[in-house]
Parts: sequence; structure tokens; C-alpha cells
Amino acid sequence: MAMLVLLLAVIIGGLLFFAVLYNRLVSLKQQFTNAWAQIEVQLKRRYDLIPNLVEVAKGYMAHEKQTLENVIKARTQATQAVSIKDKAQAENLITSSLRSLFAVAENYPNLKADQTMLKLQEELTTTENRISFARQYYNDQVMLYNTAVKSIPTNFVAQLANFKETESFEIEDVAQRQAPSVKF
Amino acid sequence: MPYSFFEIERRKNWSIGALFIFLISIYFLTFYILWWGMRFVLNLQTIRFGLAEYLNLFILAFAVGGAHWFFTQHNLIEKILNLLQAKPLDPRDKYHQVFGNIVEEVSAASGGVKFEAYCLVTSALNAFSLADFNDRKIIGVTEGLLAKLNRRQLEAVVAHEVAHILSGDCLSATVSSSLFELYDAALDSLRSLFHNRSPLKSRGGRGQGIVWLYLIFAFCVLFLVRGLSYLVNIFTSRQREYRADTVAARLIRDPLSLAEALYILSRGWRGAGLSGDRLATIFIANPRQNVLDERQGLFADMFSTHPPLSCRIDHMLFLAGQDIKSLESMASAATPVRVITPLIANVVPDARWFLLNPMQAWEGPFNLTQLGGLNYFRPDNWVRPENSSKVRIAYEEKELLTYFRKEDQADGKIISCPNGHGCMGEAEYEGAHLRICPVCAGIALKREDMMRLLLRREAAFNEETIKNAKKILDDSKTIPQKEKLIRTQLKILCPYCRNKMSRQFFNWTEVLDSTFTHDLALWGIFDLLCLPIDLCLTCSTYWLDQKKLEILQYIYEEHKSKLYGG
Repeated sequence: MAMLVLLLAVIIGGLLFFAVLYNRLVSLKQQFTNAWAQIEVQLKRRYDLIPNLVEVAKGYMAHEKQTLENVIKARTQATQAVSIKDKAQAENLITSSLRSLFAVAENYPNLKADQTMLKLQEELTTTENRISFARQYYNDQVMLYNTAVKSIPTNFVAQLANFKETESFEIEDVAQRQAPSVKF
Repeated sequence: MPYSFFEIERRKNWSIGALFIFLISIYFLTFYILWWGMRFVLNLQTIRFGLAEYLNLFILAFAVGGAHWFFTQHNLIEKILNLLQAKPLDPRDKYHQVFGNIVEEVSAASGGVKFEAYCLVTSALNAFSLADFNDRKIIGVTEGLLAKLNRRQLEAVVAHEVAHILSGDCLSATVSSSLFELYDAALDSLRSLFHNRSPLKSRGGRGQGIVWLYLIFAFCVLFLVRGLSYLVNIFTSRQREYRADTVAARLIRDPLSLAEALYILSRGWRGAGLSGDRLATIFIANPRQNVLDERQGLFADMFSTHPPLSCRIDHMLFLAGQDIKSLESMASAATPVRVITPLIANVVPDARWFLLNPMQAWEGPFNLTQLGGLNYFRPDNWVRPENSSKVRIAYEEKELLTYFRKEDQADGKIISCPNGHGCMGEAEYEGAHLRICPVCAGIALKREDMMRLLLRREAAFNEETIKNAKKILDDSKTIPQKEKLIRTQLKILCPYCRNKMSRQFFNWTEVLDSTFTHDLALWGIFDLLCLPIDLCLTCSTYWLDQKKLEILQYIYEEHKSKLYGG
């Protein structure tokens, strides 16, 4: 009888322990899913901003057709990307194309003084910063989740309940870690 | 790592519970001291003080403390914002737009927690955060700080305030500040009552004596409770500022920016107005600038709300792997200047009307701009459209009704040049929004806008402005103060409220905080400048003739750099 009670206690204890660990993994997963949703909101904001930016620049930079087309192309590619890896690559492309655009824009003083462009510049700066901070928060949450998935004893629960490691939203090189700098 | 929701709730419950117990305890202690005092004064030492008396005192303390708690916590944030005279951001002001964006950026870094941004109309350098039980979270900065810090530094300051909110100690700071601010206000009222006895003069004899006795009793209670409430600083550990700095550095991954911001704060005046100074715990740096602030040790830890700024700077520099020299070179560099944008002209309607003047004679035809310039033009005037013989009341004309409706709005209304040059244009100057006459280049601006513009650094001054400013400074020293005080009034009409404006010499104390103007006086800049301006005493609108704003900016910036090193 004592053995039976002990066995029952171990089973109930084990189940409770499993539930606690399972809930922790669910909570961590929810947190990084929510963090990803935050990134997507900011990315959408940037996608909406780019056509306006190109439209304003077009009025002054008639001879820089290729540069403007590259920005639009990068935006289209980014909107079509599905996986985190593809999105990260597309975002890198947008950042570099915007950097080229602003480098060229330095040669157009009228564009630099344009009111709409100045407004868009502030919008773009804040959007880039928000993306950067949202990505940082997402990566923090992913790191917490991945650590839980790999560590003992949560890794046993993760294997049983099919919690898999997820990838962080990384950018390629250190130079690109900074938002495109615009000096108007 | 970011604080989890449960961790925040746990901390919140613990600290708020402790505060409530503390409040009951100080009331209990106060009543106990008063009881002993009364026994001594009334010679009642023979009366026994047993368990029942203690219980009665406790019930009394609980009832008074509970009522006090309920009263101060109701509509908590609104009360504090009113006390601080904090204002929501002006959506047309560029600096405010940037600050609003920065708050949103740091919100993204904290996982999307939403904050409301506010601004204090003062030239001091400080920032604060507030939180209440309804999950409202406020982050505010002073106009002085907005003008002084660059984007990175401002981001660091906002991150520091976000860290306070996320850790939950902002809520306890807000609650404790509001709890004990009540005593200060009540003590001030009683002091003023004692000072000027007019409310009690009409009473006489015994009645007056009883009222005085009650007032003295109330004063004693408040004085004791206020004294004991200083012990609340024990709950507001100085360590919380170090923790918030560290979390801020982690949130924005940039400890150097926070070190720079704190360094700038340490070199400026940090006051937040007379009322704001009482709420020291909600600010990034102590607005009271207590001597204990820069000291260490048990006594300073217990009774000072903020740790030494020098230690906080060192801590951030350590995290950034930098030394103090990097900050000194940063401070000597000029503050980035925002773009100055040109005048935007208003669209003026083409329609014209004849107007029946107060002498019952028809005048005109006038367009809307010209009508706006007439001081007797009102909604109930008789008007006649140019191409019609039908006479109507002004508000029956659609365009005129629209005009009057716009007049009623606080912003965006059509206003006319007081010199009779018609409709004034809108302009954006150093990020602020102002009204400028396209003909005479006169500028109409409110007191707040004037302060903002003075605080913000001008790109460059031309030779003529510098020459005129120097002449005005010389004149200000030579003309006797008595002569300066004379106001020649009734010159022109206020473009906003149409009341008669007062022509007077420019007075720094009417625009800037008194502490700063005192500093200016020490450097030979007097309260009054020998620069005539027009001021509407009804709505605090300034009318400055061409170039006068630049002259004021030059004088302010030149002497500010002498005072605070740029």
C-alpha cells in the first residue's frame, strides 16, 4: 500500500513538474511570437514609407533612376519574403539600397530642403530605430526560449511536446547594424 | 533580461503594501505623540494608558490613513500632472515630434509597452516618470532638456524612465510622492493663514480662540506627520537609480549616451518649479539639489532620494569602457541644430464684403483678411456681399461663419497682423510653430513658444543682430530701472484675443524660470532689457517686431554659455 501511495505521489509529482515546465515553454514561445508581431508592425511601417520617399526623390533625382528602382525592388522582395531568414536578407537589401539613395541625395540640395523629405527623414529614422529595438527584444526572447529548449530539465519536455529551437532575426554585417544615416 | 509581468506585479504588491502600512504607522505614531503632549500640557498624567487606548489610537490611525490613501490615490496621475503643470506634446513642434518618436522607439525595446509623453514648460534639465493603479504610464521631460540633448542622449533618458516603470518602483514613487505632497500643500495653506490673519479677523472673543486652537492642533499634526514622512526615503532606495541606469543601458545597448546625458544634467539647473520640487522621487535627478545628493554613507543613503550623479556617470562609463575625458570633449562640442524651415503662406479667400461700421456707415469692400484686421468686426455685424444688394448678419455668410468658428479654436485660426497688414502666415522656426506677418515680419508667439525658442540653439547670428544686441545690453545697464518699468500701453491689438497690448521692455522673468534669471542677473544681464516689445496681458501673447527674436536669442545664448559652458 505504501509503495502504491509512493508511486502515485511520484506520478502526480512528475505530471505537475511536467506541466510547470510545459507552461514555461508555452509562455516563452508566446513571448517571442508576440515580439515577432511587433517587428512585423514596424516592417510594414517601413514598407509604407518607402513608396512616398521614392516619389518625393523622383521629383529631384530624375537621373538616378537605377538607384530608385533598386529601392523599390528591395521593398517588393521584402514584402514577398515569408521565412525569417528570407526576411532578414530582404531587410539587409532594403537598408543597403536606402543607404545608396541617401548617399546620392547628398548631391541634391533642393531635395535636402524639401519639407516632405524632411518629414519622411524623421519618419524613416524613427522607423529604423523601432525595427532595431523590436529586433533586439525579439532576439532576447528567442534566446530565452532556445536556452530553455536546450537546458535540463526543460529539454525533456521540449522533446516530448515538440518544442523546437527557433532562429533569431540577425543582420549580416556590423556596418549594417546602424540605420541608414541621413544628414539633411 | 526584461522584467516579466509576474515579477513586476510581485514587486508592486510588496512595495505598495509596505507603503500603506507605513502610512498607518506614521499616523499612529503622530496621534500617540500628540496624546502624550496633551497629557503633559493638561496635566493628565494620572490617566491610565492601556490596551484599549492603543486600540482606539490604531482604529483612529487606520481610519485617517485609509481616508488619506483613498483621497490621494483617486485620479492620481492627473493631480500630479496638474501640479507639475505638465502638458501633452504639441504635435506641430518638431522637438516634441522627435521626443514622441523616441518614446515609441523605447517602447519597442521594452516589448511594446505603451507610454504617454508629456513636457514640462521649464528651462530646467530634468525628466520624470509616473504610473498609477489604472496601468497609466507617463514619461515626461522638461523643455530645457529637449533643447539640450541630442537624439541618442534623449533616448537614454527615456530608457531610464522606462526602466523605472518596468521595474515597478515608479508606481511606489508616484504613490509615495502623492501621499506626502498633501502635507506640504496643507502646511503651506496653514502657514499663509497664520501669516495673514484676515479670515479670522471678523470673528471675536471665544470663537476666535477655539478656531485658533483647532488650527494650531492641525498644524501640529501635519508638521509631525510631515516630519515622519521623510522616513519614506528608506523605502525609496538610492539603489533603484543605479538599477534603472543599468536596465536603460541594456535596453538601448548604449551606456555612453546615458553617461553623456547625466553629465549634461549634472552641469545644469534641475529644478522643476516650486510644486514639482516636492516630488523629487519621480525625477531622474533630484530637483531640490540637496547637499546629501553628492554624498555617500548610511545617513545620505537613508535621507537622500538620489545617488551622487558622479557615481552614476562613473558606473555608466565603466559599462561603456570610457573615461570622463570623453564626456568633457562631448560637452564642449556644439549641440546639434535642427533645421529652420521657411514661411508657409496662408490661402486667402477671394470673396469681398461691405461692412456696416459702428458709425452706421458702409465700408469696403473687404476680403476676409482685411475684415479680420478690423477691430470692430464681430459675428453680429451687418455685411453685404460685393456682388449683391442683400444685407445679412455676418454669421449668416458661410465663409464668415467658417472664419469665426476657426477663431474659436485654439490653433489654426486666422489671425491678423496688429500693424494692419492683413492675414498672418504660419511658420516653423527652430522646430516651434509661430505666426509671422509676411509684410512687416513681425512675430506673434505665446509665452511657452517664446521659452522654447530661447532654449533652442540658433544656427548662426548675423553681424547686425550681434551689433544691435550689444547696444541693447549697454542701454540696459545705463538706463535707470525706474524708467524701464514704465509701460506705455494701448498701442496695438493682440492678434489672438484682440485685447489691447501693453508696450513694455522685455522682462526675462516673465518668460524664464526665476532661478535662471537670477543667474543671468549675476552675469550682468538684468531682468529688464532695453528692448521694447508688445505683450498681451490677457492671453500672454508676445508681439515682436522684425529681428527682435534673434536679438533675444543671441543675448540668452551668449550668457547661458558663460553660465553653464554651452
